[in-house]
Amino acid sequence: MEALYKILLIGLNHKTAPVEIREKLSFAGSSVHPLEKLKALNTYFKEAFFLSTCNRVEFTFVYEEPKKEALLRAFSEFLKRETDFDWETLFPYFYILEDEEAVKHFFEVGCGLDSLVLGEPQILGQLKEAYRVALQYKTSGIVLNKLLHRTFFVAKRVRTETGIGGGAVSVSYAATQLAKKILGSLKGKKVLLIGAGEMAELACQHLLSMGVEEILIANRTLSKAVELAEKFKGKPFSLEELPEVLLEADIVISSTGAPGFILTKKFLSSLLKPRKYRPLFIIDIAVPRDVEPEVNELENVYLFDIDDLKEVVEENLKARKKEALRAKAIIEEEVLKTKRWLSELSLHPTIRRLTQKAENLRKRELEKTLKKLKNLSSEEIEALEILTKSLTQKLISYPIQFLKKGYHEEGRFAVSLIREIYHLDEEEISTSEEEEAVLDKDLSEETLEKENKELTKIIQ
Amino acid sequence: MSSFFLDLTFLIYLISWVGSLFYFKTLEKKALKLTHGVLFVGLIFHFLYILFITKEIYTTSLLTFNEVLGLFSFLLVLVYFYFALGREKAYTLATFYLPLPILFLLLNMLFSKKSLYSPFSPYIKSFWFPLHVICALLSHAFLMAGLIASLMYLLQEREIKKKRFGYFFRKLPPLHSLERIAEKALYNGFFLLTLGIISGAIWSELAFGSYWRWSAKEMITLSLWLIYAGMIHQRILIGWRGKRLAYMFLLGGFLWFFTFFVINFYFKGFHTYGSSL
Repeated sequence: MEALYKILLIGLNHKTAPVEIREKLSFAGSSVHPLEKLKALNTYFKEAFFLSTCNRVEFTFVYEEPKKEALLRAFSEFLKRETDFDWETLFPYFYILEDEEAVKHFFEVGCGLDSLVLGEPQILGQLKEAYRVALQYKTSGIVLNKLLHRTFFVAKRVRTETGIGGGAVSVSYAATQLAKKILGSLKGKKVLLIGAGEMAELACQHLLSMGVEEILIANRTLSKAVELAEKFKGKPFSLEELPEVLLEADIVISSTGAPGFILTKKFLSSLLKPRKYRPLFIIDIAVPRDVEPEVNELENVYLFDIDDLKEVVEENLKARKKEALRAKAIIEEEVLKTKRWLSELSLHPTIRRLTQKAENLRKRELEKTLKKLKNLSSEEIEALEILTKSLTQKLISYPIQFLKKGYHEEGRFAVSLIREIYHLDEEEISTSEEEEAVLDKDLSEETLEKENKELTKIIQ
Repeated sequence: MSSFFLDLTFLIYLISWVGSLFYFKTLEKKALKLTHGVLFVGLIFHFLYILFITKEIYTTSLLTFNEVLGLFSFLLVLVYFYFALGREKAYTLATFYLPLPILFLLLNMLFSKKSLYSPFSPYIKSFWFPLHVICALLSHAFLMAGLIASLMYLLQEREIKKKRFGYFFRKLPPLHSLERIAEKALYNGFFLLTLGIISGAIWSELAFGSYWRWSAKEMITLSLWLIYAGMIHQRILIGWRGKRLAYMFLLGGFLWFFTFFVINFYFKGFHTYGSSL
């Protein structure tokens, strides 16, 4: 008898559960990875996967059809033991997804559709890491391997085919993008920081990583400016020196706690000519504002305050929401494909496929030969027919035997092996290796966004 | 044969412009590469066309306005490649710029032949004449590129100042790149314009015995030269840039349009096509 493999996903995320619950379930404090502990229960499931990020905690199991109740019971006991939560208390926070729904959820998570910031790319890295851990504890098998490779592939596809990751969705990234649209590039540019607080320090780190040439720091108390300048190899100035320093700067970031305006239109307009009208990009992240809003009217001076930047971010988020709809269509399509793969991952469909394939090959080759040999009698043709048939049948009888025997000993592994050897999943265009290669390329883009994220958290 | 090449070139340019529109919509790098490839093929056919008509001019001794339009369109595409393969990353320039060579090629095809011709008499056939024509037209092509970059600059600047970061903001190149293109176009265009005027004057002396004949075209060209000289002066000494330079380009562009079309058609006299000397 064949037992069907089923997928069960139990999880909670930022939408369903408050942070107090999420952090208790994240197992961040324990020295032993939850998969290690779950391995004790492996009579109930075949494969297991654990994903924990700041926004979600998810357990995924692959089990055999009749064992669902037992698995759930064992899992609730496991939770009770590890977290002191009763199943009943946790139940309202959980979403429990099965099979198709679980596959869809995996894809949505991978594409960032389920993230707090729509379309953010970090989740893909976290998924990869979680998968690596699952491989390390050997809890991932054929189904999960396929599912995760598929997830990475879908995420890449969605990213290239839709604009889900387009547009800056963090304030600092938006500012960098703006600077590039005005100044072309940040390389070789001089940045002036007015104010030497925590924000200025963060901005320093960020800007240096973007390749600016020099950082000038102006502060009311000079000693603080000197301190910061030493840390980042910048030049310290006092506020009185602003007129001279402003002549050099291309980008100004102001973040002082001053009650009034530090840069006024009148003051800056007197500097335009000595600056030779070079473009000046001013970001005012102070509240109350440091720069008079009318400064934006000056020639080649572009002023943005914190609200402007936030607006950019909101607009981009709106655009991403639209793109999310297109992403969902792609996901539906991929879920169908995966579903088909799952349903065929058993003995009989595989044997059928194999015989079909052999028969198709035989017919094609025979046709080719018959075209060349024209003067054959009908008896000779029949003889050829019989010869080829018996040959193919004998040849595939070995893998079929292996399948039948191996299926009972090693389960799905034999099935997937045969499917792979004989290319029975031909309509799948990309192999898993290709998917991996594509993913590795993607990571460098992610690191950039990661840096941006750190700055945003503080600014917001 | 030459008209076959002309039609083919026109068609290929149109296709490459559609490609650039597609690039503008999707920002897919492949689309731009394809656009450039197609455009280059068009340029080769265009060059063959130019070779044919040059031969024609020298055998029939008739110079028509059509041929000038065809040559100008060719030089416009050449200038496009100069900027597209240059250091400035103004990828979406093609979308706005390519209609120009296409337009001039279309005009070339639309004007009935022989209506506007000048006899290409032997005394015109000197080394200075082609030099004068090529320098003048190439300078115009550069200044057109500057004009288009300036228009794009003004559009992008408005988007940024008004803090509207929509469709155009994302697709248009950075202000800095557009400004650099306009600046380079100004320097190159001005240099070639000067060369064109000098070679024209020398040729005029050789052919007619006077360096300067105060024709309407010469007057406008001189004022164009003065405008561009003024721009360079302000740019280098005072640091005019961005919007101001863009507006000056608009003024220059308008004047140029006047010289090229209005004077060539409506003013009779030396230097315009279709007038007998």
